[in-house]
Amino acid sequence: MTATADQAAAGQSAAAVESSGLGKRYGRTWALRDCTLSLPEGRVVALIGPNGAGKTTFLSLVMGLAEATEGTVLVDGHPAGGPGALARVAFMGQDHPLYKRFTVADHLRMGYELNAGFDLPWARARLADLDIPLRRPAGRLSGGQQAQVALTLALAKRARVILLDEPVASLDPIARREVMTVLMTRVAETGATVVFSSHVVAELERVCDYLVVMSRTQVQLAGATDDLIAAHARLIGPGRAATGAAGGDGDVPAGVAAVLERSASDAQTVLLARLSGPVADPRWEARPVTVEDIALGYMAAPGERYQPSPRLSVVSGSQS
Amino acid sequence: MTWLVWRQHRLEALAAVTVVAVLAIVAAPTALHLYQVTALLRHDGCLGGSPDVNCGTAMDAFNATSRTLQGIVPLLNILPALAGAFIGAPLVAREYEDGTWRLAWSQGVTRLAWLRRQLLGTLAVTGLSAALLTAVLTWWLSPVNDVNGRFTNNGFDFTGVVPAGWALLAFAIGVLAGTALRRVIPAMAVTLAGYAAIRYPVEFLLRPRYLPPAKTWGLPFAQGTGLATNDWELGLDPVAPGGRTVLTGAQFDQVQHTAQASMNRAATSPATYPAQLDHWLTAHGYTQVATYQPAGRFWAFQGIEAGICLLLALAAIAVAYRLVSRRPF
Repeated sequence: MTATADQAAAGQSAAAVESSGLGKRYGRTWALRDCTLSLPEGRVVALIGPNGAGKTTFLSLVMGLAEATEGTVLVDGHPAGGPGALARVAFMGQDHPLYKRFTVADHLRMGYELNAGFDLPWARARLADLDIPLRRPAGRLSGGQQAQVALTLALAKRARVILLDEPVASLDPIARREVMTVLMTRVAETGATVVFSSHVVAELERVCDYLVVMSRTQVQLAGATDDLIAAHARLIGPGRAATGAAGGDGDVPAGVAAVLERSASDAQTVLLARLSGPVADPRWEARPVTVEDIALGYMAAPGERYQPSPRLSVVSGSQS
Repeated sequence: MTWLVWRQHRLEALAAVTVVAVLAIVAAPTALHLYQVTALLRHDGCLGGSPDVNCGTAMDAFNATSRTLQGIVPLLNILPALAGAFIGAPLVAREYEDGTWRLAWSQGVTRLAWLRRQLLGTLAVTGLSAALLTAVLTWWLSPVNDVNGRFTNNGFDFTGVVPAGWALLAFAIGVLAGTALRRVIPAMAVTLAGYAAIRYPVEFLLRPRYLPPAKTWGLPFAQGTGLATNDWELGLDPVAPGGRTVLTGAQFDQVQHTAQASMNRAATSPATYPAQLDHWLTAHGYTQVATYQPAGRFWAFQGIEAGICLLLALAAIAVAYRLVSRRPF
C-alpha cells in the first residue's frame, strides 16, 4: 500500500481498531468468525471470554501476526500487518515471549532499534522501579518479571494501539493492580488505546471503559461501559406465588429487551436484563448493575448478542 | 536492526571464525613442509615434462607428507552443511520454536524486512568465513595441486567460488527447512540430508558433464595419456584398430584373451607380460582414447557449479520468503 492510500484510509476512520467481517480459520476449524468491531480511540478495552473464544486470534489478526481468512481489520486506519499499522500498534503475547539469552537491557535495545519513538528512558525507569536487573538474562527472571519486561517493551513503543494478551495472568494480585494502574496512566498520558484480553472478570470496573465479550469464536457484546450499564439492570419483581397463574417463567415487565439471567423463588424473581426502555411496572424494581455483572451475564447466556452501533460523538474527530 | 542481527548471531560468527583460525593453525606446518618438498620436486624436474627415474623416491616422500592432508581435506566438504544446519536452519525455526516470532514480528519492522536483514547479516558471516576458508585451503592445497592438478576433487572443491557457492546453498536449504518445519533439530537434520542429496549427484554425475569432454584419439598403449597435470582425466578406453570405435569391457576382454593365447605360444614370463601385451596390442593396431576436461575449462566449471548453487539457493530463499509472508498463524 502506498503512503497516499494509507493516509486516505486513515482519514476515513478514527477508530483505533476497525474490523469488518473478520474471520480466521485454522485448517477446518474456525477460531474467529464474522467479527465486526469498532474500538474507539483513547479507551481501555477489555476483551473478555472463556478460553477458545477467539480473543488471542483477534489480537493476532490486529497485530498482523496472523492473516485473516476473511474480512478486514484496520489499525488506526492502516491495514493490519503493513508498515503503517506496525508503527502504530504494540503487542504483548500471552506467554510473554522473550529471548532467553538476551539480557533485559538487550531487549530494551532491541525495542529501541526496531521502533521509531521507543521510550527508552521510561522503560529503564519502570524496570528500575520494579527492581528488575537490566543485566540479567531474561531466561533467569521469574515468570512475573518476564511478564513485566514484555509489558514494558510493549508500552515503551508509544504505539497508538496497545494489544495485551492476558497481561496479568502470571502476576500476583499486587502486581496486577500496579499493571492496571500503569495501563490507565499510559492511556491518560499518550491518548493510546489499550486492548487487553482476560478470562478474569474481576476488577474490570476500575480498569476498562469499553467492554467486548467473546464466546464461541464470535463477538457477543461490545460497547462503552457507560452505555452498557445504562442499558442493563437487575430487576426484582414478584415471585412464583404471585405470578404463577399469570405467566410463570415467561413473565417480564415491559421495557425488557432480553433476559440474561433469571432466578425465581416463591417470594421474588430476580432478572439480569437488557432494557429497551424504562421499566414503569410498579411491581418491578430496577437496580443498577456492574460491568462484571454484565460480562458474566453474557458469558452465561452465549446465545445473547448486543452490539449497539457506536455513537457518533465517540467516532468523530480525534484523528490528527 | 543490524545490532539485533549481530546480537542474535554473534556466537555463530565466533564459531565460524574459530573454525577458520584452527584450520589455518593446523594447516600452517604441513603447508610449509609441502611447499619445500614441491620446490625440490620442481628443482629436480619431477613436475610436468618428463620425470627423471630418480623422481620415484622424491614423489614417495611427497605422497607421505601429503597423504594425511589429502585424507582430511575431503572431510571439510561437510563445513557448508554445518553452516546450513547451525546458522541457516535455526534462523527462523528458533523464533517459531521459542515463540519469540511474536515478539520479533510485532516491532515496527515488517516481518519481510526483518527476514531480509537477518538473511543479509548471516549470509555475510557465512560468505566471509567461506571466503577465508577458501583462502586458507587454496594456500594449503597449492603444492598438492601442483603435483596432482587442481581439477581433481580436492583442488576443485576448495578453490575459487565453488566453496562459497555450496556454503550459500546449504545455508539457504537450512533457512527453508527451518521456515517450513519450525523446529530447530528436525530442520538441522533435513538440512544435512538435503545438502547431501544435492551435493553428491552434482559432484559425481553433473560436474564431469558441465561441458562435453575433450578426447585425444590414437594414443598408443604403454604410454601415458599425454594429458597436462591440470587436465581432468575422465577415462582412458581401448579403441579398435583403424577406427574410432571404442571397445566395451567385454570386447576388450575378448581381445586380451586372443592376445594371451598368441603370447602363450611365445612363452612369455609373468614379469614382462604387461609390456608384452601392450606391444601386442600396438602391433595389432589397437589404440587408446583419453576422455578429459581440459585445464582451461577450470574457471568455466567453477562458474557453472557456483551458478547452479546460486540458483538453487535463490529458489530456496524465495520459498522461505513466501512461507514467512503467508502468516499461517
